[in-house]
Amino acid sequence: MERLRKLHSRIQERYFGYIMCLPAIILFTVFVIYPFIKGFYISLHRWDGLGEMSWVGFKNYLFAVTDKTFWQTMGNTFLYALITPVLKNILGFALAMLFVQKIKGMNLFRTCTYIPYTFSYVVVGVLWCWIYNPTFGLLNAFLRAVGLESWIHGWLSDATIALYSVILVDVWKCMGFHAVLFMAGLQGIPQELYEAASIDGASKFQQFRYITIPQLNSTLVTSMLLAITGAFVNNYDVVNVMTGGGPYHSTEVGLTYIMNTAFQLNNMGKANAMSMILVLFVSIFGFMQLKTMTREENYE
Amino acid sequence: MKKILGTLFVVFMLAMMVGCSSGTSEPDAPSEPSNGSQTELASGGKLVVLGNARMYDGEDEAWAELVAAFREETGIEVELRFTGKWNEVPQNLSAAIQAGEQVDFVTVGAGLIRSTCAPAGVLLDISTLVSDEVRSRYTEGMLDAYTIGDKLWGIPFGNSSAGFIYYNADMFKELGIAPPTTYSELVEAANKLTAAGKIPLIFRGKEASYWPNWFFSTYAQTTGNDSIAQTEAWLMGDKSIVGDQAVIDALNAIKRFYDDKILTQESLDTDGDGMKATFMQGLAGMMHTHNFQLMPSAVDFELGILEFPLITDDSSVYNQPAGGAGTGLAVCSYIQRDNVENAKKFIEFFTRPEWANRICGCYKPTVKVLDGVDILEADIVTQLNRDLVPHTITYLDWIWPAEVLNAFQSAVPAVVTGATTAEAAAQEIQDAYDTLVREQEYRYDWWNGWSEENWTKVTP
Repeated sequence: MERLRKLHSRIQERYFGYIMCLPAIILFTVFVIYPFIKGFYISLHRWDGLGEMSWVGFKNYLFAVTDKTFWQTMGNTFLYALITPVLKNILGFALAMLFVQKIKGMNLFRTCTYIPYTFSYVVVGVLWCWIYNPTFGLLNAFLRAVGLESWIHGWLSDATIALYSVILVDVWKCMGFHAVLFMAGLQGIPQELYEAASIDGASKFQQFRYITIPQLNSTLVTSMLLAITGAFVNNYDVVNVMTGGGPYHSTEVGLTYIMNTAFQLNNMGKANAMSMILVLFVSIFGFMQLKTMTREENYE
Repeated sequence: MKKILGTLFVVFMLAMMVGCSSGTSEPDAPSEPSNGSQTELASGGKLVVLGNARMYDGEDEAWAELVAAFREETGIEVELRFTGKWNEVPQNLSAAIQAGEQVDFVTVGAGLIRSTCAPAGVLLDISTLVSDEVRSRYTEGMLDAYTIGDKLWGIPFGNSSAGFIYYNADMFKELGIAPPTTYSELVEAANKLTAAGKIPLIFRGKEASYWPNWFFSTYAQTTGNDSIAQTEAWLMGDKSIVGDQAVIDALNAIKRFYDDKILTQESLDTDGDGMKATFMQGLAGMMHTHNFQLMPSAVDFELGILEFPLITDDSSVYNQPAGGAGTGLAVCSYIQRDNVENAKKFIEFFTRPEWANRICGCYKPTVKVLDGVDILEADIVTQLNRDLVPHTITYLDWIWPAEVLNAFQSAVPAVVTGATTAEAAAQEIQDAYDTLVREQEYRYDWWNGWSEENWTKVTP
């Protein structure tokens, strides 16, 4: 009996972790690994989603890499993924520095800044479409009211600025969230460090440079990773709602183009090939970024 | 132990994968003839209609009444599965087919039938299912867009229309503007409206899918009213549109609307709701649309309609608005063959005048598609049917494949705003067509390339 209990205990000890992970592994396999393999399989075929599949080997990859619109959308995707994390973090950090000040009404300000993050991209997109609207929109009306008529633009119809208009919306939505992350980080920095630095004669900038920034490194890594991941995977909703990828593909990102190829052009094989290429690029980019940002010397 | 558990885990995962894949297991399986059993039929038979969510007030109720009456008369159940948007029907159908679900009818318009569903072999050729009696219930020409390669692939039941321009007649009177009939008069009217602080003409330019409507109108004129034949010749590969003067002139003619400030920056960033709001609030003098978005009762000013102006000097050319009955019902080729007779009964029942009116009435029809359908009464509807409908041609985007439509949707606004030239746009569109041929072996007359096996799958 005792031996049996020991055996049971040993098995429990050894496999408990595996068993606890099993539901997550099953879900991951069914909803990520299997679709990925299936997607790769489809990418080797010509298929309209309705009729018969026919084997084409790696031709869809050739079609994808010779499609100049695809590269344009990849460029937009990386531009989006480059600008939004930087702006979200800079503005989020600036807001966090404000948040930790003891100013009257700060709680209301914090709440107002965070609220956009709780809205879906669809809601935010529709809201900003109306703000940008050339006839009824608040933005142009404001510019008109303050005498800045020359600044009035077709914010979503001018191909040279439309992508930036969309990026701004994403930044506006998420900067409150990043501000909260940084605020938590700032509040975790021991005050003694600042006091000691102050006694040693360090200026405010020196305190910021040599205490605040290094102490916030882990928060910064987390915040940047979240922002970059978000920039790659969340851009579909906001672009789709606000511009649909237009005007003439100027705001088209990889995901909207892939969806368009799959479900409007019914070219499932090429869409899956483009997905695989996007996954490859994002993986390389993500890996490099993770390696760079989590170097041990960053934490020394 | 670890190895055993590992092996068990792998087996379990594989079992999960197999379990999660569809009953048909391979995506190419749906194209097999479907005489096999997908779902057991109800006692009197059962039909499943897959379609997009109904878009008009009272449509759901009308369909519910229709299927109840059909069941009472025939004992055949009809299950309605209306979900998503109209352009999502093919992907919903694809999902249903792969899941092995019963689908007998799909609500799909002529454009999707031609570009996607019929060439993929998922629709049944219903030429023999639609009797002469049923055909006679349709207004002449209404089945044309649903007839491809001399076979009938669907029946329309929505509204039909013809492209035109609304104008605010009260505003025109107030500003002393006569309804323009020529392009130069339109420019003059636009100048007066601009001077009065109004947007001359508002259009839903933010929605790329509406830009080709301009091309339908201008190309009809620059081809000397031969746009359909010219388009078919191009899609057959008989010619290229690079350097095609009719295409270039048509694109440049649209640009003139922008250059002459008839079409303004506001339109580039306005969607359908914004367009209607701008016009209804009296901020714009005219509104370009391809169907009846507004009725006189919806606005507090007198509403008028204008034909698209003549943009050529050739006196033999006339305006040809694009139009057609856009919503249709088609039979899925996966229908169990012993259910085809039930489908035939449903088609007959559905097109009876009283039911046609009950269903189509929800669309507030302006053009009679089917016998028994009461069209709206208004002076502008009379004008539409008298002056425009007789010259209507099929929307070119019902003929174009999706890739070409996509290219036009980008090219037209790019030309209008000067981001590209008409010549470069024609090249882009030709490239889209060539890519389609190269990558997907596109063939416009796909029906001529079908094997006997293909035809067997779609023949009742």
